[in-house]
Amino acid sequence: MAEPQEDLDPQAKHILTPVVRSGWLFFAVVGLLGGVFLFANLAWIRQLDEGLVVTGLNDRISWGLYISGFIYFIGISYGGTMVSAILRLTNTEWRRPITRVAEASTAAALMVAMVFPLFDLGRPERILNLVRFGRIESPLIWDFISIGTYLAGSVLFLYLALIPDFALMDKVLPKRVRFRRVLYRVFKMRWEGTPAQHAKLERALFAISIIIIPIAVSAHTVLSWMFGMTTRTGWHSSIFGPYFVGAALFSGIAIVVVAMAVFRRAHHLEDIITEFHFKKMANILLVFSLAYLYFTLSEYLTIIFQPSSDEQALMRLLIDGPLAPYFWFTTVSLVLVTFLLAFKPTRTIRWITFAAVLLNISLWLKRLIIVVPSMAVPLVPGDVVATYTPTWVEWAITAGSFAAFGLIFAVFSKLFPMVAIWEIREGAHATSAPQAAPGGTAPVRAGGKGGA
Amino acid sequence: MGLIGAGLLAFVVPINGSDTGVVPPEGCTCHSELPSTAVVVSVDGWPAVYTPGEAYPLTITAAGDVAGAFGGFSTEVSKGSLSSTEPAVLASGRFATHTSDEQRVWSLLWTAPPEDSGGVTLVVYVNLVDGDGSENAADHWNLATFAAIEKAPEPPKPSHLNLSFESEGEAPVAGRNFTLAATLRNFTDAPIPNATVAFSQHVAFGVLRIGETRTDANGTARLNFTVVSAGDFMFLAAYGGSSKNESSSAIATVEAQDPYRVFERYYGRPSTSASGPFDPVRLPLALIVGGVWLTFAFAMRQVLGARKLGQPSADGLRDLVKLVFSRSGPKEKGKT
Amino acid sequence: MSDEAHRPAEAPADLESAPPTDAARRSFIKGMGIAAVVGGVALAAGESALSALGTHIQSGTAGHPENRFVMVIDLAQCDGCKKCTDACNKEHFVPPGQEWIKVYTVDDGFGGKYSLPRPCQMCENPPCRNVCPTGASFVNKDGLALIDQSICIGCRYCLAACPYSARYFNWTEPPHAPEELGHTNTPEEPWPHKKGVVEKCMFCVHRRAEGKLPACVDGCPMGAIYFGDAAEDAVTNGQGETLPLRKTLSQNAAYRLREDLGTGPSVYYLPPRGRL
Repeated sequence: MAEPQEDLDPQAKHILTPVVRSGWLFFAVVGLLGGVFLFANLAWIRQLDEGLVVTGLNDRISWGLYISGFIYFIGISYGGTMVSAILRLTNTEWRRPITRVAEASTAAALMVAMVFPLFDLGRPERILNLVRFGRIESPLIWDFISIGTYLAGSVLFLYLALIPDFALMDKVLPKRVRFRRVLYRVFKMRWEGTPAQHAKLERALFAISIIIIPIAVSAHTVLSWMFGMTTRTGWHSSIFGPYFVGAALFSGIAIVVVAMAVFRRAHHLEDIITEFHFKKMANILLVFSLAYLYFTLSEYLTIIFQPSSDEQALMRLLIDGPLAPYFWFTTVSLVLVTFLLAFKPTRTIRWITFAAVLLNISLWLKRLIIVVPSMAVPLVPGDVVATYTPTWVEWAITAGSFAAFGLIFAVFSKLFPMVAIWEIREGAHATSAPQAAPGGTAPVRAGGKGGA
Repeated sequence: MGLIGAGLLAFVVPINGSDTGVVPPEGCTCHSELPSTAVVVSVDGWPAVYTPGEAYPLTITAAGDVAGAFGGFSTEVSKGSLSSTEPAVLASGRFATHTSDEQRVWSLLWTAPPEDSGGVTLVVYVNLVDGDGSENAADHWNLATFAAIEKAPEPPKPSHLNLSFESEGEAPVAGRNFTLAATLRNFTDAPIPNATVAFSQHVAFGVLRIGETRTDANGTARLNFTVVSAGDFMFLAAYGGSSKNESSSAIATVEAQDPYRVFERYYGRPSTSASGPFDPVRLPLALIVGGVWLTFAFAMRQVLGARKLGQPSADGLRDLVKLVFSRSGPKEKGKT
Repeated sequence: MSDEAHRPAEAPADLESAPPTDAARRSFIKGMGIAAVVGGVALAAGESALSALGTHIQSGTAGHPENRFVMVIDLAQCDGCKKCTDACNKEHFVPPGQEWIKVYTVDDGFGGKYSLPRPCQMCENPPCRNVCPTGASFVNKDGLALIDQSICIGCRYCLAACPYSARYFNWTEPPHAPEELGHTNTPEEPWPHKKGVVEKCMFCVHRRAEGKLPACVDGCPMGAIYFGDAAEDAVTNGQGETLPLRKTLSQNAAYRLREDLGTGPSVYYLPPRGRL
């Protein structure tokens, strides 16, 4: 079993090892996720067979876990955009060890999100009707175009940032890694790291960084308009665009933090992704947490203040209806997270990760309480408040979506390193004196400014 | 013969009845003083209600307990005219009598007077004689009076009710008042005034009563109406309440100068267009999305340009296959 | 990795002024191609939608270039017997659990109750049609919102958008009556019903071809539901009574549901004044 070749610096070797070596933990995790994913497929087959009657949906509440899951996954895709694109454009050096994880999480989230609507359709086999007969007037078609473009852009972004690492892997990975090497060899695009090539890559990355921000903003805004353009109480709110974008940024960063924590532990990257990075991410999370609390307060205070029966019914549903536990959990945990992130004793890797996980759970629940209560409010005089209880099929498919997200990451981690080696080297090179010997292996410092 | 001649002469100067005729008011007193119930006078064919102008054949029969078959009659009708249908009867104007005395049944024709003549009286004197030539008590006579009344006039039966439209231009226009006019005439084409005409409209699923007006002196009833859209509308006018009365229908083709405005003033018009407010957005949207994808293309172009700068290495298909299936590792040109 | 690997002749600076290479041309063409494809797909999708609409059966009452069918429901006459629902369910083989015309019992706020039948409101500006991504929900020439179940993908956006809870989804394959099966599913006669698509009241457009009133209008023993063409300004109920439309609406203070939303429903309600 040949190790990566000797002329690689130890840090890069350390980062690359998990790509070729898999421990028992990896197989255990993949096995577990695979099992959940398989179970979800069985549930899906059941649903295809009998129809959506196997869900808890009904003619009054016709959207539930699938749609809220869809929104959630689009939301967490913002992480990559934020870290990679925005931090790149702002020349934030400490982003370097985490850009890869961020971009991967965006791509993975969007891959899962694009498949999600399929679960919700009554006629999934007719999905191409969206292309054959699509009406540009429909917010759903705007969604389709916008999210499709976003997926293409983020995959492209991920790929661009992978090119130098592909080249590196092509060179240094052991001989036994043959099939993947084909991938690297083709997709490295004859990368040799020359300044000219770097210039081109930088130009490409710059272009995509710029364009991906409005695309990402539009993707989630357009998704929010799917609700905002209806007339239902709680949906028809002009704050929905900014609200969803804020929530997406929030949950996206949180997912990146979770992914950072996972891979830091799994790949032993403690020296590369350090507490410093977590603290920086916590700062960003704190800012978004405050922004998100502001949006939430604004939204609900406006609703509470309305004497209209619809708005009052909605608030009643949220405060002590069937979904009230979720509503309170979300609200309380958001406030809690804000404190966790703000105060020094809880600004450690463990607590920050905990906050990020809590945040993701509560934001997933938040999507559910955006979708369902507004549909429960009666519309016709004399009509009753509707109820919705998700069934095992819906929970299974939801769990499967998370499993798929994890599995995609697992696949990614075997295809490329979870830290962008070239970016780290580029950063180190920029900060250290430019005296690297030809072909030299000058030891590089981990992280960016400020040290580990 | 001389008697006949004298009888005829008697017609000219009606003074006395004789076997030829005219009855004096006091009866056939030459024969006997008083009428006798032994004689029965009957007239067949006399109408109780006569139709003005119609001809009625009458048969006068005298029967009684007088030997022989000789007799005579005289009759006067208050209105109308009498005419004879046989030689035995002599009729002229309002009078008729016998010409021969050898029968006791006579037939003649009465023509009823014209309209508005009122009641008619027919007096018939009948004399039965035994034929012995003497005017004595063996002869009996009697009289009978018959009356007839005029048939009441029928209510004016309209022979047609004509429905039409009156409007300023050629055809009724949507949104503007037009007039439905129904003219009622009887069988002689005279207009019937002051009659109630009911107007209705045939609609998709039923009939809608739209109004009732009375005919004016010219027999025309008018109703103002407005329709809210263009198209064919069927209207109905009916006279009186009975369904047996003649009614008329007519179809008005209403034009609309601006159909939608009239219509949608009340009910709105559905937006059947699929696009709604979106048409102007398509092109800018396509341009924006196209622009985004162009940026992706630009980035890929950079990558391909970078590729161009690199050394062609073993990424031809043959070498790739070799790479996959060889036991030794890849051969590299150039250094790290 | 910015190493100083020596390179043969070309200096980086020349690249910028070099003529476009084949690779560059290819990528540029590829880029234009992608943009063209995207734009083309968008336009083609729009065109397909319009032409797909053109294949829908166009129906209408002969003689009027513009029809606008309205329903007037006299709440003062409605006794909540739900015979309208039964008639409709029977006429269209409506799957169990669906009531295309649904009768609600409304509390009038003063201790009394009245019944409110709610068919599809046949809006002039229907939110269901506005949000449908495939154009399966469309408005025909007579202004009736219908559904082409052969195109519907079952996304249920229209159910979310309808402000009257008037639309229904086939959550599973519904049971089929024998009479249903030989029939071809069209927007005007959507049976046999299929799993995974949406459906709703369609003002019995198929009965009008036979000159018949909608099933609910016919089936109402109180004659509380009137139906007609606003172009003729008259509505008729199942008992044969025809009323002048505008006058009736005006004199009875007729109202529509959720008037404030601007959907422009075609169902007018006469308030339950003096009800039995």
